[in-house]
Amino acid sequence: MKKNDVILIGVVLILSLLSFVAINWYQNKSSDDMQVIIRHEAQEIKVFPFNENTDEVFVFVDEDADETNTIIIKDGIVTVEEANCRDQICVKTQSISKNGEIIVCLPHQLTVEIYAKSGEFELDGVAE
Amino acid sequence: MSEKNTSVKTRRLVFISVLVAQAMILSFIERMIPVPFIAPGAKLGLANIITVTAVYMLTFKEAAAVVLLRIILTATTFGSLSSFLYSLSGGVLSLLVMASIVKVFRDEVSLVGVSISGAIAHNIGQLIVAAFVINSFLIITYLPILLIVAIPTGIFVGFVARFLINYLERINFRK
Repeated sequence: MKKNDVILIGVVLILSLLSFVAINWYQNKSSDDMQVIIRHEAQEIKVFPFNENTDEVFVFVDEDADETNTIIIKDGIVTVEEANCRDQICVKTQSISKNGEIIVCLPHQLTVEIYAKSGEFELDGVAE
Repeated sequence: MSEKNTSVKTRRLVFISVLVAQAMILSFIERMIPVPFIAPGAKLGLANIITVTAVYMLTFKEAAAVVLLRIILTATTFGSLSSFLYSLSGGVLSLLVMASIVKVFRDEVSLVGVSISGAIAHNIGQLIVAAFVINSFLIITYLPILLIVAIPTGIFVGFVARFLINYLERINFRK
């Protein structure tokens, strides 16, 4: 290890902490009209209004590809409870509850996102 | 003279092949090691030990051959098309970043710095492809935690690569 390595590590740490703060600030801007958007292959397949009282279970099934994900919305948090994807990353990812949070299942190209409807910071729409 | 040239070429070819084989085995071992789940995409990056070594000891073209062969062979033996895309984008970006750093700052940055930069480039490359696949840039919010994870894994990979390079230089594999 050299001095420049330590500098590099310091810069990386500072950058990541700053972006943590920025992301947290954005995510904590709570709103009254939040919604959970479930997308498959970038297409919206289901939208739920989202608040503390939302109690929904959504089972995504793609019969052709034999893909399923079970998404539970309860007590103000959204969880992917079960999935038959090979990496199980969506199941292991922490539950989400804030604006702009996302759970991704890359093998199934499925995403679960929370958005405030009136969000000024529209972050999605890469290929539009 | 020409005989000696052929011998050097053959040795380099064998050296490249050995590195590719080692990287494949390391990718395979990495899949078997149970690591605690920290964030999507966070991993040890054992194959990066070989990329760092290749970038350090070989020319850019040879190091690129090591990386591309490892990615193609790993994808065809234990992977799928989508995992191939992710490892290709991560692997190519980290190769470019590490090769530039070694070229420009060879004496100012140690292998630890090189491997941390490579790990970060790898994460960024994968996140960009993932963002396009799912059509949502929100996935970039995973980057800060991945940056932090890149530090300890990068230090580990850098130290292991240092050991490996010391051995390889002792047995004079290249000449």
